[in-house]
Amino acid sequence: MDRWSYLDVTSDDATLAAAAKADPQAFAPLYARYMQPIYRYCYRRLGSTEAAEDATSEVFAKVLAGLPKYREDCFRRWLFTIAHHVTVDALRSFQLQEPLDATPELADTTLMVEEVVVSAETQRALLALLPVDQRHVIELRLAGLTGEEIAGVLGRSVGAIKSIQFRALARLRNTLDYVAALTGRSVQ
Amino acid sequence: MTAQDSDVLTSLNDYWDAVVEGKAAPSGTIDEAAEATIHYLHTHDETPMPDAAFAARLWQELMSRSHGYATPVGRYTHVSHRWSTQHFRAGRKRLLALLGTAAALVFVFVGFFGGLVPWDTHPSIASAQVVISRAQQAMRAITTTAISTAVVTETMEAWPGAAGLSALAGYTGTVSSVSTWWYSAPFHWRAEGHYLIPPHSPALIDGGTLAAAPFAPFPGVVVSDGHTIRSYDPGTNILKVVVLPHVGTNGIDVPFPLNALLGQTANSLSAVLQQANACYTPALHGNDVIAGQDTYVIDLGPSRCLLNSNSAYEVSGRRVLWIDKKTYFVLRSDLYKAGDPSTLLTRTSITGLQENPTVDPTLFTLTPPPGATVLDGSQRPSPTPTPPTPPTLDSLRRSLTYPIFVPTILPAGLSPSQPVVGDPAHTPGVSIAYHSNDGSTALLVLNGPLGCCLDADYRKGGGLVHLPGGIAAHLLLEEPQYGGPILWWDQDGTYIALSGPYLTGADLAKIAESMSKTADPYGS
Repeated sequence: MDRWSYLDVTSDDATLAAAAKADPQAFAPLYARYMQPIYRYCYRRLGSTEAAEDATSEVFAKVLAGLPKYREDCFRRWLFTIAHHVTVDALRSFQLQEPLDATPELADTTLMVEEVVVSAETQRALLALLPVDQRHVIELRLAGLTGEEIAGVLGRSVGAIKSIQFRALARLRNTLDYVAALTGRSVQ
Repeated sequence: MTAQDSDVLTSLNDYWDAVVEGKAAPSGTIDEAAEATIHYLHTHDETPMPDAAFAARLWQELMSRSHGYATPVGRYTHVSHRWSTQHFRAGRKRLLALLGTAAALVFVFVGFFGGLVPWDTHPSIASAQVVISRAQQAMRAITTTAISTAVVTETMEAWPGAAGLSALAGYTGTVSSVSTWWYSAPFHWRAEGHYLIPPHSPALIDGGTLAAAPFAPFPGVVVSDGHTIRSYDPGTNILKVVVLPHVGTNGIDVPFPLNALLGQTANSLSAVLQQANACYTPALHGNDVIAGQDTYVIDLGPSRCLLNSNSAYEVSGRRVLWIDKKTYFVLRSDLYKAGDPSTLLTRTSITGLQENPTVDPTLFTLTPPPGATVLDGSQRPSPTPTPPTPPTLDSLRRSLTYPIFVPTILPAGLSPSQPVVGDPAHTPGVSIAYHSNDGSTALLVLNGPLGCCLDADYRKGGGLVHLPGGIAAHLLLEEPQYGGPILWWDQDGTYIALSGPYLTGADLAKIAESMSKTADPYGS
């Protein structure tokens, strides 16, 4: 069979991943499909173009290196697991990783909330108010992952993810209401 | 947690799953505040898109380092690190310092015993850059007083089967050609070429496949008399005459045709030298002897730069240069397959070089044999040309020997312009541009005779995309500024190409599936 015959842009992830295991060039459709979400996920986590490009490079290099031994049943979950670990490592190396007990209460975060109001990147400032575990879930939701996939990426149970995202939404809702009260305008 | 609480969490999860999967979210299953917050998050996501140049560069880098998964996993780790040299992290400095010291020590050791004089105490990258810099200076020097006349013999070898394209599957063997250049400053030159080892498949020549390849010999004789360029093809007995381009019109600061001397015919090698530091990572790999001359061997690796022409991807593979230690001319250039740094595609070598010899001035004239057809493009057009009547699609369909296909499914808001017939000698075929509301071209549809265009160049295979009816189409990933991705295929005797600066391969495939040779895009 012609090596390029695998390269069909309409194939599903599993088919493309199987093809790419044998031929790196056949990875092209998966790269086209996930380059943007992975970059944006990395940017959302790391906050700069340079850091996002570095992390994206590393993610896809690891993915290509790992494809020959790829045995997962869900490519997207595997891909974002790698991306999550790469960004965690990057944050650690930048010494910007949040302390694990950083769960700011709303009353203590007036200045941060004001930053939400004035920031050009409102959503990023908003997510910065969340505890780490809640932020991780929301970031993966924004990357388009389902609850089950997020559970796989973060190594948690689906039930735990459901609880975390529930609490995250409640906190975000409160923050948005607080911002609205501060500014006299809705941020929605 | 109560059962009711569990139901709330599950409903929220299901709702959000539906949102991220693009399905219809079940309304009324979660409270309005949660619903509003979820939609706020997704509609206020200001995360920027990746830079297209970065995406293209990363893909090339990944492919250049992933051949056959042959080397250890760890090799990838330096990919991003190299790119991050502009923004080193403080936490990495200590490690980098250690690595740098170790690398310097290794180089001194290797340099001392490997005879890399006089730069044996410098890192190899610096030495390579010095050699490249001097090669660039040497290239410029031939435009001044260094050389007034020259005779250069250049041998090119190529392995078309190594291109890995289905059209050449099973092709084995080497194709070789030799070209001789006579040069007299500043603008007189003559080139003659012929095959040493012709392709064993005549179809490769007859179909034009090799004619478009960088290693094909000149078709006969090409002469510049200082004012015009005359090319004679004995196969067709046609003499073409064009006006000599102005200095600098080749896009680099070397007058045409000097960039074509001294190995420069090989895939715009002069441009490679110009871009060596910006687009490549040159490394000195030792010494060699080429045509009796001592040379430095510089491994440039693959290009990191943007695709800047239809051919750019194919010539973006790893390059190795052999640079004369005395003159700093490039005496050999190897080009490897894009994405495959171990498969050699072409080798160009200088096999003869005479500096400032006596050159017979009659070499710079060319008189065709009796009976030759002369196509003289140097003559001024008629001062009162008759304005041509724009052809209609209907009239073209009746007059041309091949059918013209148009899409029946289009992105919303596009409208077709009238068909434009290209110059048969340069851009054959019929193109129809589809414009968006702002007047920009969003989609370009080109129909042409078989073998007219990308289908005549074995390097343009790209990635295969299967269309209905067993049609194999080829996807080339070009940057938006160069027209965007191109999807091309042959169908019912027509070469068809679709491209759009902001269309994806999937978009083009969807449009391709809708092509019709009878549809009227103007609704007349």
